[in-house]
Amino acid sequence: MSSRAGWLALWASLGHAAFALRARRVFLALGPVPVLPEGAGGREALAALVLGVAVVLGLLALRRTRGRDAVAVVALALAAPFVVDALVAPLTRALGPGAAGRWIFIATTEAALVGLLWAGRAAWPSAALAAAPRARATRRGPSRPVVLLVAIVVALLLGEGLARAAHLGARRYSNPMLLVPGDERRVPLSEIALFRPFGLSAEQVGLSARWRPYLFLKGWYDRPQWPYFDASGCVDYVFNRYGLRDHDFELAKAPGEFRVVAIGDSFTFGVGVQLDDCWTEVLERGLRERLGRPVEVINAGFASGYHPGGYERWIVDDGIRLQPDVVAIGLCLNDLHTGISLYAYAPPEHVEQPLDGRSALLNALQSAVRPHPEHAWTPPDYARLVRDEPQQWDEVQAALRRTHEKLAAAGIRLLVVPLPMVSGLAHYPYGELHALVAAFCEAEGIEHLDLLPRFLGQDERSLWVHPTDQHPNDKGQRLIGEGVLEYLAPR
Amino acid sequence: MRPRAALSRALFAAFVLVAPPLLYGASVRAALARDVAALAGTEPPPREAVVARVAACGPCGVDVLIEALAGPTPVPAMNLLRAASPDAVVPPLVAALDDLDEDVRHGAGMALAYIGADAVPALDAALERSPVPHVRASAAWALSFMGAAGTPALPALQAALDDKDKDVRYVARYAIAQLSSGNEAFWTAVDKARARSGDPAR
Repeated sequence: MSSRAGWLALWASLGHAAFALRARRVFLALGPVPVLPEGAGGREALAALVLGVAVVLGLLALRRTRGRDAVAVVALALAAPFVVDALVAPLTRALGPGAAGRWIFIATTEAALVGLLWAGRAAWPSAALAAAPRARATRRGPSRPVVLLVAIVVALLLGEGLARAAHLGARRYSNPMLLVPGDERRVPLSEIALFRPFGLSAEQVGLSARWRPYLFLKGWYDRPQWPYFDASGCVDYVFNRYGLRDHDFELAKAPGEFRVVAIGDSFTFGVGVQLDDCWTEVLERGLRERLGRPVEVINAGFASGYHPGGYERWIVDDGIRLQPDVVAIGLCLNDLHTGISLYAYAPPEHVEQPLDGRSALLNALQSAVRPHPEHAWTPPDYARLVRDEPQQWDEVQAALRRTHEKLAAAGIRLLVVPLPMVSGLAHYPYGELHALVAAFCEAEGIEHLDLLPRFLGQDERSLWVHPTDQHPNDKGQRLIGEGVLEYLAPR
Repeated sequence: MRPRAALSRALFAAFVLVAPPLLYGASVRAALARDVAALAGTEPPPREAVVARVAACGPCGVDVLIEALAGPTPVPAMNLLRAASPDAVVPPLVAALDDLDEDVRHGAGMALAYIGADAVPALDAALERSPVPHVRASAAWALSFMGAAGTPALPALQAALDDKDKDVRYVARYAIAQLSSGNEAFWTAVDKARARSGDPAR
């Protein structure tokens, strides 16, 4: 049964709800104020009027039909959350935004909803009485809508269970993020190389031209699988007093100390691993054990950007002053050309999943309707790319040549370590790039170490930080560190 | 009339009486938020008029400004908060460090840093006494921007190097580094403490 007033109430409620949801915060988190300032807009007043009309019409319709107007019931149910929110929000202001306030808010909201329902039923006892015989009449069996509802719920639950059992509709990973503890800010991991100090001079930020002393960031990953991540799925990026991702060390070299300065980009910085898992730390521990004397391996990853042209300037300005015995450049092969990807695969298409991917059934249905193949193979010819557009590789060679000359003049060894990509190891598309670097270094008389043999044949997924981040994890970093250790201090 | 029905009708009457002023309040908040956002627009309203409206709304006006910090144009709200009485704005800003919305938390921290010396005692207290680790970390982070104005908080920051939460320790160390650059005596003391504890965050 429904009345004209009930239908009007429903349309008014729908209109108000659409308006409120579009504006997102109209009639949500309210607060009483003493005066209406000049210029208060008519939009919100109109919304208030519409809500008021909906409630009044709905109540009138219920009263006239002794509670049997189903349309009016729907209209009031639609309006109820906004009304309850208006009633409860001032309480949260009094309680403050703490955890206790949140729980009291939730409990009070629920209680107020129950109270409103009870008040509506009790206010028109005739309606309740009129409904009673109908309730008795339906005791013989559940009504058709109830049966239909239960059947739908059971079917959905069954489908969800089957989809999970068959491993269909996996939830996609969110992209990694950087957190700035204290600042509460989240930024995409891809921004990591773009972080810069805020207007500080080189003297103020110490050796690094990029990071502030003792800056603290956290790298967050969605459901990481390796045990070195903390309970919240993060790794810590802690910088020392010189703005380097390393433990603190004395600038002055200790007597008898063997010192290595390692410079490079994300692989040397250790994106996605804890500091103690970085290859520089693996090397430092190994050298101490083998040499039996003080050893300091300084991690200058990202200290001067992420390109060998920047490494040269940092080494000349800061690195030489650290009096290293060896400067190791962790050369990433994507430094040779901007078109060289860190990943040997096409990145998976990003698709928003319903319910944030929490339902395997819905995910599977979405995939069936719109397939999105992950990691489709794209066979690139990176060596040809470098040969056809050699400008960047020429700049890298020139920078390495000048760096070698300056270090040689200071009596410091230069070791170039082309770091293997941890991607496509079964059909490695970067092989010729290793050969390019080796040929250049041999021609220039620069020490170089090719670590590719250590990586070929490995299960590449066991070396990734995360399915969304194919930087080397602790195992990959250990392979690099042990390789350099074997070169610098063979058993 | 039965007591239950009387109570129900009383509740209904109360609802009818209370709802309109609350909806009225919603209109005011929305209008204020629009005015504050318009200050960053091409045709801004007179700033004095907006300041007067915010002041007339009391605590609600401050809440609107804090919410605006999380919006796309936070600068006008930050300027209005800085110009307002610290007694009125600092306590709600410190409370907003525990807001559910991370953008509000970020905006509140930045606004406290922008307010500067007047916010130091409240941040100092939050760092020492808040039971919520991320509020303590946010207090330390805000202090890190204050330069000379933040130096009265150095003892609290130094005490936070022993905080039970690792994140708070790291952020405190960062804040000390920002506030103490060039203070070698202080660094010597921190280095010694670090050597004693073996904790890299010290």
